[in-house]
Amino acid sequence: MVVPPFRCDSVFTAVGGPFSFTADPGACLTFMGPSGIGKSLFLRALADLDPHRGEVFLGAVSQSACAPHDWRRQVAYVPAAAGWWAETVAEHFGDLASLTADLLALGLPPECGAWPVARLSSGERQRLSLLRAVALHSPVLLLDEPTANLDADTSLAVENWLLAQKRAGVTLIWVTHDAAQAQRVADRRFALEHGGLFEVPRA
Amino acid sequence: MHEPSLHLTYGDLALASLLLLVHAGLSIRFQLKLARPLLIAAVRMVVQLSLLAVVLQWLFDTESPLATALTVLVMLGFAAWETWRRIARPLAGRAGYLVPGAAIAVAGLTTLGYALLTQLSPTPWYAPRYAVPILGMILGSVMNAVALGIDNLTQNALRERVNIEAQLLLGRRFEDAMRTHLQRAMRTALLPTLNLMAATGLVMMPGMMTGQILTGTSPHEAIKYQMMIILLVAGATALAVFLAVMGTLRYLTDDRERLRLDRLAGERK
Repeated sequence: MVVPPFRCDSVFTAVGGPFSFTADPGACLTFMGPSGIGKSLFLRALADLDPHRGEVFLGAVSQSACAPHDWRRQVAYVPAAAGWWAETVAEHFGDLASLTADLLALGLPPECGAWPVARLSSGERQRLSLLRAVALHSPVLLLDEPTANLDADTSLAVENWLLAQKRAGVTLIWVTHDAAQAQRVADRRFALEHGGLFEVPRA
Repeated sequence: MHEPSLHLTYGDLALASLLLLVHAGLSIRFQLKLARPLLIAAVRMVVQLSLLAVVLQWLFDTESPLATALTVLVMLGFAAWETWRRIARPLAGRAGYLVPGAAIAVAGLTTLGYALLTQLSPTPWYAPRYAVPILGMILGSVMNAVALGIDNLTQNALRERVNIEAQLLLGRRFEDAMRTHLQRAMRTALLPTLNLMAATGLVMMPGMMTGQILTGTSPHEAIKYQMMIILLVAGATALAVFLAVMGTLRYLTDDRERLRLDRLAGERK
């Protein structure tokens, strides 16, 4: 996959800014910061889900010049607790049958497509919402605490699966509360504060 | 016109209120706390309708186009305000009553004008004896339906926010993400109208035709008028609901196809 660089230029959310960064294609950037500092609001701004100031670029294409639904398909945001609007799991996917290898990598049985969403545990929901976004083949993934509801073993499995996406060229913007996880997955680590993003020097 | 076969006196009205008084007695005996609100509502109804009788009589006697136009405007204004009042989470600011108000005005006036210029054609066409009561009947139904439709749409958008945004995040258009909610709002709004048309004449006698029959009009004539009114009212209601719900939906998004729940007013105190 040929991925353009992802660049954020002086974005202000309702609670903070200016936030700026440039992510090289296929890089993994982690953002850490205390609860309530506005990490999710920042990811929502990157996905253009909330009104905000500043501009975001994917290669030469600016967010404001891109059709909103196209932008969100390119810059796929996976909230910590994503929504479900239909009855069964499979209805939320284009073609879940083609994703069997990914399901197994995430520790989910291939027949889970028939499961009613109401029956899913929070961990199952989280993994399926990640898969749902990855299935879009977006060049950029915005991940909001992607392993928050998972046990240690499953967390590692999900991490490895996400890093495999990165090796395939996907740029990962990864919000986490877990310093060890950031250490494991990040090419560059940032601290997110009210006044902006500050890169953490390599240890 | 036939002479009314029965003549109502004020004593008859007092007799009609006797049942409510009996209920008030029961309410006090069993501490239901209904006596006072029911009696107040009944007194309000009597006062409001008595005033209406005076206003209508004056309007019909003067037949002034200006007075009729003013009456219509006041009715539309009240309808917009009353509709806004019934919506738990209306749009914030002026849009909260302007959107339902515009939908009600367009649908109400179009229907009224159409009825006056084609089916009824009184002389003059604006004769208040026709325009005002027909508009009143249209507004009664339209107000209810528009309030139901907007209320359903905004409440569902608030409740389903995460699920709607999940669809936007997967690259679906706002219009597609909202489709089921749009359908549900329109259906909820029109359900009373649908039910009314289905049940009319089987178990329920509409008030207007019953009133005409009681004053001596033949059932054939009275029912023909009733059908026309029901069809006009249903048409106006469907049109107003469409305009009001679509208008509200437009305010719930922006040029970036976001879900803009920040454009809804806060909870009513």
